[in-house]
Amino acid sequence: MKRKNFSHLKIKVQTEKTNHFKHEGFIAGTPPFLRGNHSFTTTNSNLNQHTINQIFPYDINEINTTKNIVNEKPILLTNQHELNSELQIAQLLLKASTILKNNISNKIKIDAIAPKIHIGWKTTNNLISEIGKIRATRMLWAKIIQQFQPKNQKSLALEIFITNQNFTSYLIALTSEAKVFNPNIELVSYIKNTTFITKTIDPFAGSTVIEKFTEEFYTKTWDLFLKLNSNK
Amino acid sequence: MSNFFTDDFQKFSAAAWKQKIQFELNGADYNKTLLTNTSEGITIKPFYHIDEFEKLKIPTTTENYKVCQKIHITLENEANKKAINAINKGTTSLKFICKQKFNIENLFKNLLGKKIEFHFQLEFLSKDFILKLASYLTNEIVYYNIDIIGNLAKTGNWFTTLNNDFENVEKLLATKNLISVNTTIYQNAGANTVQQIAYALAHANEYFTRFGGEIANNIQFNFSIGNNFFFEIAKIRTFRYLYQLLLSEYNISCDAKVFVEPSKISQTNSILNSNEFIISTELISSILSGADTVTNTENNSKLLQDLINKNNLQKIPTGSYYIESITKQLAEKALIIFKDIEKGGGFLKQLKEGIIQRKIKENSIKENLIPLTNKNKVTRKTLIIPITSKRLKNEA
Repeated sequence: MKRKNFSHLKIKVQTEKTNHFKHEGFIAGTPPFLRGNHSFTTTNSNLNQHTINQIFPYDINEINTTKNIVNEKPILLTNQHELNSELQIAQLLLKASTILKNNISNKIKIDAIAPKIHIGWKTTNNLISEIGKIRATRMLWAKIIQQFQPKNQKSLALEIFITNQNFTSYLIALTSEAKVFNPNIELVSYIKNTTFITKTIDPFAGSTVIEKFTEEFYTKTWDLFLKLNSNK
Repeated sequence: MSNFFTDDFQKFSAAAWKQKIQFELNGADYNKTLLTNTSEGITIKPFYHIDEFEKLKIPTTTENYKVCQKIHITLENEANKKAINAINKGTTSLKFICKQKFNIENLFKNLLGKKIEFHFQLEFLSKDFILKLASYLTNEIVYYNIDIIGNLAKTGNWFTTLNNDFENVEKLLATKNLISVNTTIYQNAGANTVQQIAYALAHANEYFTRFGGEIANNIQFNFSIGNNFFFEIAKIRTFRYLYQLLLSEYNISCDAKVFVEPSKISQTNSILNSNEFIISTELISSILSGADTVTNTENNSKLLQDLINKNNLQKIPTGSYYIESITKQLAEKALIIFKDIEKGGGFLKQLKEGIIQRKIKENSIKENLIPLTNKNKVTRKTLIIPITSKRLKNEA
C-alpha cells in the first residue's frame, strides 16, 4: 500500500464542558474553600508535620461540648463508627458547631476558636467518594461558620486530616488538599519529587464523577445536618 | 437549595485567582516559583480553572479493565501452577513470557474455559508454533503480541530478514489479535510521553502501510506507565484520540486495545526501600488511564482487589480541567512528531537512519537516565542501533 499523507490531520478541541455544576468556579484559598484552604500547593502545605504533633484526636462521643477550648491545643474530631458517610460528617459538623455555640455563649470570639477544630477520618480506597467528601465538607464548614459572622476569613477554613496511612490515603490527601496525620517522610519525599502529583492544586477538579459526587454529598449532608440540629 | 453556596460565597475567575496567588507570593516570581516545565515541553500550572477549559473527545472503553499477571515460562508445570494460583487470587488476565517453544498442553492444564485473557510475549518467531497455539486456544481470548518492528527496534535485527518477517506475519494474519505495537521499548529507553504516543502511531502505521488499515482490529498496544501520575493518565487518553484520528484516514473505526505495565525505569529508583509505592502510583494511573488491561505484581494484590470494585475509576479523568488540558497538549505535540516521521519516510526508515534512537537518547539525557549496564553484554553486529533500556543516574 502506498504511504498516506497525513499532513492535513488536525485535532478538534472543545471548550464547552458537557456537565457543568453550580459550584464550579469556587476556587482555593477563599471561602467556601472547595478546592483547598490555600490558593496554591506549596512544598509544605499538605504534609507538614510539625503542627500535627500538637493535635489531639477525640472520638466525637468522648468530647465534652461545653468545654472551653480557647486555651486548649487544637482538637481533631474523629468518628470511628460504622455509619454512612453523610451521617458521619453531619454528626461531626453538628458536634463541632455545638462546641462553638457553647463557647460563644461564654463570650469567646468565633475567630479564637473555629481554627482550633479539625476533622479527621479514615479513608477507603474509593477515590471518587473520598475526594468528593473532603471537598464538600470544607464547603459545609464554611457555610456553618459564616452564620457566626467571623471577622477573619481563615476561620471559615476547615483543616481535614486523614488518619490512616497507605498509598491511596496519601493520594487522596494530596489531590483533595487534606492533610495526613503523622505522615511517612520518605513517602512524602518520593511523591513530591517523582510523581509530580503536588505540582497543581485539586487536580481532579472538573471531573464529572467527582463534581457530581461532591454536589450530592453536600446536598444530602446539609439536609441531615439541619435535621439533626432541629432534633437536638 | 440550588443557590446553596452561590448566595453566600463569591466565585473567582482564573485571572482573579492568579492575581490572588501573585499577591500571596509576596514578591516571589510566579513563573519561577509555581510553574513546572516537563521534558515534553509542557508547563504544569499551579491551578486549572473552568474558565480555560479545553478537551478532546476521547474514545472510552465500556468494559471494565482486566488485571494481568506476568509469568515466565521455564518449566511448563511450574508456570501452570503459578497461573492457577494467580487466577485463584482474582487475576483475570495472564501474560506468558517465553524464550522458546513450550509444551502447550502442559502449560494450559486446567486453565481453559475460565474466561481468562491470555497474552504472550514470544521471544522468537515461528509461524507453525503460533498456528498450533491458536488452534489449541481457539475458544479462548488470546493476544499473541507479534511485533516484528518492535523486535527490530529492541534487538537491532529482524528475526530473520525484513521480507521473511513480514511474510511470516502476513501468513498469520487470520489469527485474531496477532500483532502488537510494543511501545514499552521506547519508554524504558527514556522517550517522553509525547514521543511514546507519536512512536506508537508511527510504528502502527508501518503495519497499516504494509497490510492495510483493516488489521487495526488485530493489534494490541503495549505501553509502559512511568511515574508522572497525571501525564501517564493523559498519555493513554491522548493515544486513543490520535489513533482514532489516524484510523479515520483508512476509513476504519476501531477502539485501541491497550495493555499497560509498570515502567522498568522507575523500579531502578531506590529512594524508597520498597517498590510498593512506586508500583501503586503506576498501578492507579494505569487504571485511571482507561487501559483495557493493567499489569499487577503479586505483592500489590490487596490494593488492587479493593480498587477493582470501584468501577467508576476510569471515568475520573473525564472533565478534569488539568487532565483534559494536558491530554490536548500532548495530542498537539505528538501529532507534530508523527507527521514529521511520516514526512521523513516513516518509522522504519527513521529507525534505520538512527533518528528515532537519537531523539530518545536526547530525551533520556534530559531525564537523567543512563544505559543499564549489562555485564554479559556481547557486542554483536546489528542492522540498526538497538533501543536499549535505561536507568536513573545516581542510583546503585
